[in-house]
Amino acid sequence: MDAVAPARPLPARPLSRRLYEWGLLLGVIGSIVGFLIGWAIGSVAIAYSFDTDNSLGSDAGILLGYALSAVGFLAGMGFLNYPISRLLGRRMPTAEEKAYQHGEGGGLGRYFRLTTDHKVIGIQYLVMILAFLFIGGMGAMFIRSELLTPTPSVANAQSYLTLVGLHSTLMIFMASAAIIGPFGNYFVPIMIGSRNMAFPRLEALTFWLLPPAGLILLSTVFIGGFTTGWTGYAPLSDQNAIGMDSYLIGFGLIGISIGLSGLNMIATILTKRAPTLPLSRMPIFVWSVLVTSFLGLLAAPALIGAVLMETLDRTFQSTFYVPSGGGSPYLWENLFWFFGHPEVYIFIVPAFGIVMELLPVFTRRPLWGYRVGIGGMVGVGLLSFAVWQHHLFVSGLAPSLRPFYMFSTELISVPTGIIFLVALGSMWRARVRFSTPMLFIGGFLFNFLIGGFTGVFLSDVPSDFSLHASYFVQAHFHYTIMGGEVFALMAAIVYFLPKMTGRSMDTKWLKYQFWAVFITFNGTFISLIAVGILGMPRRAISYAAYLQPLNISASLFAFGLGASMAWFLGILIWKVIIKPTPATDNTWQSLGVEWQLPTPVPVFNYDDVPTAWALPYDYDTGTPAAVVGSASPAMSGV
Amino acid sequence: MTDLPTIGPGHATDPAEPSRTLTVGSRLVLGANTTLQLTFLFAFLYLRANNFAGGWNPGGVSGPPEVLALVALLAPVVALVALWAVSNAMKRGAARSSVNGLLWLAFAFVVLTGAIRIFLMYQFGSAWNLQNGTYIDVSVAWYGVILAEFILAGLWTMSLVMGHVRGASPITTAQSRALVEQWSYITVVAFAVYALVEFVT
Repeated sequence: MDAVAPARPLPARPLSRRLYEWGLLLGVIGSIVGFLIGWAIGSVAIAYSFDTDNSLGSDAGILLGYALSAVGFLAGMGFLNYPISRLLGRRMPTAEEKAYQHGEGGGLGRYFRLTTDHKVIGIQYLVMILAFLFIGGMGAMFIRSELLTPTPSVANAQSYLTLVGLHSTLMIFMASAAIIGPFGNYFVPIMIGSRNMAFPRLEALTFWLLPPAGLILLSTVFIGGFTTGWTGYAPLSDQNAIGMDSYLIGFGLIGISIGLSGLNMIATILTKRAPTLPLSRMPIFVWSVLVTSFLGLLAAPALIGAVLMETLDRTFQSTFYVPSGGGSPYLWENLFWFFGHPEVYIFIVPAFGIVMELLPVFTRRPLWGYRVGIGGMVGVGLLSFAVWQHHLFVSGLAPSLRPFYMFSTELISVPTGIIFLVALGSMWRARVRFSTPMLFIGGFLFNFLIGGFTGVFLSDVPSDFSLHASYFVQAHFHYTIMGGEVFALMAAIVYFLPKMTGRSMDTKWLKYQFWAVFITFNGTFISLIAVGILGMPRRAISYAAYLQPLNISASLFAFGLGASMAWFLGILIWKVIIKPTPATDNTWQSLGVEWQLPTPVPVFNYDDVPTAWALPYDYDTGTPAAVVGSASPAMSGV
Repeated sequence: MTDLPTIGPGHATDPAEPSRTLTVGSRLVLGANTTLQLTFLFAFLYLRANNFAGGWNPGGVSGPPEVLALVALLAPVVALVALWAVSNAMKRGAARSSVNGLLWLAFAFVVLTGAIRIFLMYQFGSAWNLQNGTYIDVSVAWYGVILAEFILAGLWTMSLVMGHVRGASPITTAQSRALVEQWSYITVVAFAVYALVEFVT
């Protein structure tokens, strides 16, 4: 019998690595410690020094507590380790340390700590966004339950308004990253032939800013809530109690995340592309991410500035938005919508990208008007900075300015229409495969068309005067964002999940689910268009009795919509986690370069970056976008 | 398939890529910063033009302490000259040790800039209370934002200086150029804001 060699002791892991593994727990501890420190300093020191409200529930205490809790969370996660070691001039991380932080070695632990692998971050985004969308969706169910009767039945006016504000703000938070977060982060580097993002730590930061932002926002229910809705209009925001502080810090963190994400994506696309991949052959989804990233980068600072001013109003009694002190609520309206209108295109342009990216796969034809489609998205992006004052038509905007903003807003339907033409042209006389993602794309096109039509009435000054602040606006917004972006999100999940996880969620039940969600969505929001035209104001807990039948209709369809969304989540969890269904490497016979890679995608994507690129939609000849050479061994597990 | 020239395998590491990424990233930061500065410019001009309820500058407060404000503008200019000298030396391919002195000099003025601007805000005095009208509100908030930017740029300078002098990560030409760009931008904004706050009360 051979002698058995004595087992060598495993090398001790350095303390820094062991701490990284507990990142999430340390982050939670850091956030609690940070909150307590900030709360104490804000409540006592600042309030005393500046002779402001020095009670323990003061705005200064809560705001500083929230801000430091976010900093403490990030510090616990390990985000300060690298900058501090640079400040002290310590050695740079070794290749082994970088590879560990990148997630080499696999394991589920990667998903709960600071990881710089864009693919891990993409999946982190997907899980978190679905979780928060679920919470926001539950809020919608409560809202529709309350509106079954014309008078308050379950909630009082204050808690109802908080519920509406929470639902809308949380959804806006998540919608801003719903497509770019999971799919932009996961696929953009792969689609451009890069091994990583330009700034991987920054990418991780953009993700890890979102959980504190969402939780800080949700914590408002424990401190009184806020009544402003997602737009946070002054002077109501100045008059609200400390619950408003959750909104301000949450939105501030989201603004930082959007801006940094934009910076990272643009730098990645412009500088990390494979040397032989020109902009003119980039997948159109990457183009949509590029356009969206510019919007985020240039619009988010306006929100951050506006939030900073409101924070000063609430803590040091400055008067930016207080008319009696020389300020003006219109200042908030202008700054907020300078961010807010590009923000809605931050939601929808990536959805355009998903639709145009997926259409050739299911029509088996080249994308019709690739360059025109890019032009349409760039046009939408440019015009989105010149339309924000249409939100102020009824708030006292100078009458002489109305025609310009009406014209610029109506003008934006031209590039949007061009994108529609590209989609329709791609389907023209094609033998369309009606797989599940294609059904959702069809749903997107139908819903977004109604969203676009209803938008024309709101850009038109005379009709906006009668429709503004009614359920018509609310229904229009949901048609574009839920009917548009969320349908594109569902298409993208079904389409990309096999590449991201190696598991497929496609099943005949998903097709039934599509029809359920499509019918109930339209039933809900057509009812709300009708109540809006009949004059029901939004965000009101009471309404005229004659509007009850339509409200019951909207509520019943909404409950069906909620159930069908839960159905989608249920299929996803069942087919990916509980009873995994393996997927093939190229589930949809796509020519895109991401589908030429093995599943799961290797840690650094490519050993040898592809050197010859074609347009990714050459379905006439069946030529793949690029030929992928050898790749590193695939990592086990998702 | 494509008529583009192909190159051999293993070309993934382009030596110029990190510099290019840093340069593009730095310019993008300037773009985002421009929107932030325009936000404050809009607030300043909007509130001044409308003077709601006569609340723009009811106390007739004049600009910040003049001598100190000018010194606070001079310090970043001197720091900028030193940073520019570092950048030029890097471009000429100077030896690592030969730029140490210049880096320390630049860092000293960067620290001085932060200290003077903190002192300036402290010296705004009781008339510059945030409850004394929107002229004070916008000006103090804007000076605060510029101070925060000088501090962030200062921290970046510190990380580059420490990495260089301790040999952990010698400063590169792209880094020195990006630092000069950022510092120049903030200095120019500081001058513009000073002029606006001083002369457009």
